[in-house]
Amino acid sequence: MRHITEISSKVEPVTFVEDELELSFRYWYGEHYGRFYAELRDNRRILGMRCEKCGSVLLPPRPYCGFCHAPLRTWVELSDKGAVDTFSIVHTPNAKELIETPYACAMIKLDGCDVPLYHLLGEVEFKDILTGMRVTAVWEEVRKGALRDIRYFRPSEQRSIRSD
Amino acid sequence: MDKARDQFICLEQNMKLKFRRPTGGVVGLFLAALRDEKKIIGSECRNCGKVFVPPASYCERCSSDISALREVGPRGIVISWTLAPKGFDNSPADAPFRYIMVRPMGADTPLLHVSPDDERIRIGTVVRPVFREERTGSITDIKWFVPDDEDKRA
Amino acid sequence: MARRVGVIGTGQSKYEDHRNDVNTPELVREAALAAMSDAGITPGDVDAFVIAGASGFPEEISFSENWIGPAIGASGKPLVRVHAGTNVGANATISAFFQVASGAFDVVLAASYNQRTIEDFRFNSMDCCDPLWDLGFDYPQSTLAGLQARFYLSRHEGKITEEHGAMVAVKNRKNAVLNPCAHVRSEITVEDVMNSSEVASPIKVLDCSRVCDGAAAIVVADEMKARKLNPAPAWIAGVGACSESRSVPYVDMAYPESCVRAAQQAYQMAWVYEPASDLDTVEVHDTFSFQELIWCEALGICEPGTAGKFLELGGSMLDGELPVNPSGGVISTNPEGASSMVRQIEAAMQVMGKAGDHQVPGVRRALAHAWGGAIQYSVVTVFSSGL
Ligand SMILES: [Zn+2]
Ligand SMILES: [Zn+2]
Repeated sequence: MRHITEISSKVEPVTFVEDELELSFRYWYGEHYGRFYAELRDNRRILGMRCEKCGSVLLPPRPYCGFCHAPLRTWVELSDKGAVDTFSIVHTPNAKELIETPYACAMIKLDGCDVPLYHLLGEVEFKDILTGMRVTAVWEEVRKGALRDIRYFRPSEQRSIRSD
Repeated sequence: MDKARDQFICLEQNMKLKFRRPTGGVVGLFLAALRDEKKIIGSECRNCGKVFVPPASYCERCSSDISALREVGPRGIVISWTLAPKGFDNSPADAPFRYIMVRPMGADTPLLHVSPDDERIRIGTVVRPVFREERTGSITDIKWFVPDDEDKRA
Repeated sequence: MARRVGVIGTGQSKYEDHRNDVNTPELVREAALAAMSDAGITPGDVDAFVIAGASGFPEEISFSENWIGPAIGASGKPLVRVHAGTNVGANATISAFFQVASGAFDVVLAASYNQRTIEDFRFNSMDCCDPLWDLGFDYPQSTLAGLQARFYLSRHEGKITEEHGAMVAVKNRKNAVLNPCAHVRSEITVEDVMNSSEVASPIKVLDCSRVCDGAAAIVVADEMKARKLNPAPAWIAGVGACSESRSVPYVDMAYPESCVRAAQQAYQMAWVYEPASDLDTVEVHDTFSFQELIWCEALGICEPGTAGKFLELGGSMLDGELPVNPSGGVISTNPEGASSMVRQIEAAMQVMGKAGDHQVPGVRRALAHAWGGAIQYSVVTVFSSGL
């Protein structure tokens, strides 16, 4: 009963299937991130949280401690100055974001905070960047409520090192 | 301040991705046969005898390698159907239309495809494919399946 | 008491920059059939299957296990997919291990794969971090590795140098020449590495692995089946897996706690007291050259800051006291979703004495290490020739 016939013809196989997908994502901020980004945008203030149990001061602000998992309640204002923990000069273009390469990025420990913040470095020759270097945030004039409301961190001036 | 905070309810991200996937030879032949010859090709397992459509290079029942390709159909039997009353972006046909599971003659597995919203489309109905004029090597080179007696009625 | 579990077969597909000759199920089938053939079994003998791929993003479909399963004989059998970072292949093996150790199944096949369908896809920070925090910056994995390498260099200033990273790449590329499965099989020199262009300082092009497409599979069985099917299985003597559920900055990049803890778990289970002397060879996940040094220290093979010296003295060379990455490591073969399982396969092959030209003589115990995510995940597996 089967209607099977041998394939007689020779066709050139299709080697690839191509497709395009456009996706829209929505992530809910929740109370902690919401407050953090509002303060960043409206008051140029960087807010972290202090753990009452282990004493750590943490970024990003979350309802629990990243180190000891205790609930967090205490907000603290952090300095927009800090020190370079580690850095890299990046030559690979990013997938989505158009930062002109090469650029310098760093993990920066803000004064009073126990975990570093990833950000960009600016107003500095690559060869002059050192771990431990003091840096200060340069804020954008128009801020949207994102970490990029800080344009980058630049080396702190001599006098600010002394005043630090 | 609470008001300001309210503006940070969610983060929206948009992403556009382009994919390019190798078909492997067997699926590639299936797609090429639709495009170039308006034929539906299945794979026959010489170990357990099952005929799969779309074809694969392996038998998913007994894990044997498959080397025998067969033309199946093009007529097929409706195994099940459901109504799509409303259209959507990239909708495979103008609404209303029906999604059908159609088992091409000579195959042991059904294909998912579409048909007109025609009351004659029922379980057991014999249908035949209507190929598009412009074909690209895709399952949508078959526009849809229509009842096989359509010509006679018309 | 959990049952003993042994590796009875392993398989790897051919690795290429892009495997455009096969679709994903066919690619995974290539490795799975090789593993089953190595074990002397057919798909019908396998009780359950575990599938692993590094991420849903590079392949468009989220439930790839449904697509792949039928190609490896999983139709009509239990099938799960595990999800993690690039350590996912190692997690798949551990999942198979637990399924057998618990008594649920006798023979389980774990398979992992990498086939990129997005041109130029790179794992980015956004793929493994907190999107509400790290999405502000979209940096590739090499940037993270650059920051990690600098952090490590500056912590051990004077003890670890950029040349040490280059020496790792040179050593592993040399080993890969002896490994017929390896993807990149050509030797390089320290000068080549040092003069290659900068990717994310201090990481240079030749400090990086080259991503490829490919698949790997491993068959594990309970003691009775294993002894029947294989005269010398590689027993899984210890497993450890640890995550640090924190965003990137929380991790001590030069001495990741997840790696230390995963190793402790595996060592305790495998009765390894002195890793440097109790282990005969190790395969670590060196996506970037410097990472081999960092992992060796976190695994307790070298004291912190001494991995450079160990390398200089030849300790980690193929003929050294504790050869590291005799297969050529990830730097020579990086099918991302499968790379961590390949570490296990290579370690198991060393224990079974089946590693061919890159066999280390007399291996009784071998370790496989894997990392993933933004360095938050670590997996350690110890294989042993005896129970
Ligand atoms: Zn705490
Ligand atoms: Zn069959």
